[in-house]
Amino acid sequence: MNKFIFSLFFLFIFTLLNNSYSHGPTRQKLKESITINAKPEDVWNVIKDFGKINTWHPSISKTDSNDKNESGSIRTIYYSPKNNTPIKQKLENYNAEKMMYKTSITEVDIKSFPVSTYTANISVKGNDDGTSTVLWKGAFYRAYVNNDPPPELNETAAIKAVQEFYQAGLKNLKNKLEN
Amino acid sequence: MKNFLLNLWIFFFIFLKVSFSNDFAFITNQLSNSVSVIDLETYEVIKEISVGFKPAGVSVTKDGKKIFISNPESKEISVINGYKLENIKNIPLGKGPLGIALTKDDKFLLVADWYEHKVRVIDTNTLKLIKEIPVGKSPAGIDADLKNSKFYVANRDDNTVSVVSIKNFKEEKILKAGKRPFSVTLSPDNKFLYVANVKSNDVSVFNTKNYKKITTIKVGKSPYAIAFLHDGSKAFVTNQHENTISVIDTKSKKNIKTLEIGEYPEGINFYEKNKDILIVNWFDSEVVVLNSVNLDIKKRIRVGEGPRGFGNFIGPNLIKN
Repeated sequence: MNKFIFSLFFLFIFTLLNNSYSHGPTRQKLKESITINAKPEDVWNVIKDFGKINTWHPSISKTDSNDKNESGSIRTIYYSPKNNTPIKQKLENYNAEKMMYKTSITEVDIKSFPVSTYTANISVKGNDDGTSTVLWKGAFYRAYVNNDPPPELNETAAIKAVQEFYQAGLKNLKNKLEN
Repeated sequence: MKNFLLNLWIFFFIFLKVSFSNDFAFITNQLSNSVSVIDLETYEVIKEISVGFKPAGVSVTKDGKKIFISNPESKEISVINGYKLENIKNIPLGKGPLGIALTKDDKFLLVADWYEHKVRVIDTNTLKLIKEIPVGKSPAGIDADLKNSKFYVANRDDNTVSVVSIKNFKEEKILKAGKRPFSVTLSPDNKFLYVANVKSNDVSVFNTKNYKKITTIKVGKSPYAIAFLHDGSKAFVTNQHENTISVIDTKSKKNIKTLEIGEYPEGINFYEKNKDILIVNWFDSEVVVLNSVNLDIKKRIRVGEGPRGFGNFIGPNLIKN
């Protein structure tokens, strides 16, 4: 019985998967940053592994990946505030020297994370006073591909979801490195 | 003495005329609901004009008197007066006006509707809607030929390009492009049609005589728009998800170079007078001026938020003082 409910749940998730390539007319932009009292190398050391975001992001319960930091690698993160819903992401570009990498979302349950055609860039930069700044930038469309979106799938909902995700991650990263 | 004054007057008149005969670029700032006007002599922004909601597409008449802007979210076309640099009219139109282009005689404005799968035709004199043409799914970029005979529109969600007659406004042919074609651009001699395919990361090249696909050129990730040099020898493609532009040699039809340009490059135009390529970077909210000869970046011009500059955004400066 449990298995049956489990399968139903996955079927439900599957039907909600946003695998259409269409999108709304206006791409949204979001930048979140945090200054951390630590050397950039130390900060980079914590975030550098694409497949281990769960070690520093408090809203991710688990990550499945091949543990490789190379373009094309896939990770599935389980987003805990939304019943561990899986979000499949791809590593688009990795630059250890510049301490940055770019990711995209390839599969997502838009009920839990209402975005489409999402890409993001996370980077670490050293400041003159010895601290570091982590900048997380996202570019994405709302989840609803047709005209006149319902409120839970509109631009505001998309921005809110991504903002919460970035802010929680950055805040915890700072705590982890400063304490 | 009278003659001298007259000569002086003529001299000044000519001087003024010459010094003000430069051009403007009109950049749609989608996230700040405005258009930045860049003086292409100084490469400085001289004005920011409020338009409709989430402007994207742009097209300027050759005489510079009218600048058309598409606003997909307020579902209207803004008309900017080139003398006043003011938004003088908003024309409500369809459900998602996005890609726009003028026919080369400037008589008609062609507007692709992202949601209604149509191209609408507006008479640029009366500013009235005169025709609706059903095309493929989610039409985006448009280009019209020099003979005022045909226009082309990329149907993004059908993976096709529609060929439409300007004589009778009927779809004549459907060409199969790559995956998710977004923009179409004719070579300056009109012999070739280049199509940027966002999902297959390539450019389809068609012969406009027989509509045969000649080749497919691999470019960077998520190509968006294409601009040719005036002599047609090279084409430049913006790759949104790679922060680069690809340089295509049009003779060999090969991608010969990739240049880092800034985040989310989108709209791109060639400015013949200065031999510069103007590239609109969405994420960085800037226009990059790239020297087309040595491929050096000359300047980065800060514009409004989230600029797209989708279309032909260059036109003459009509402001005399």
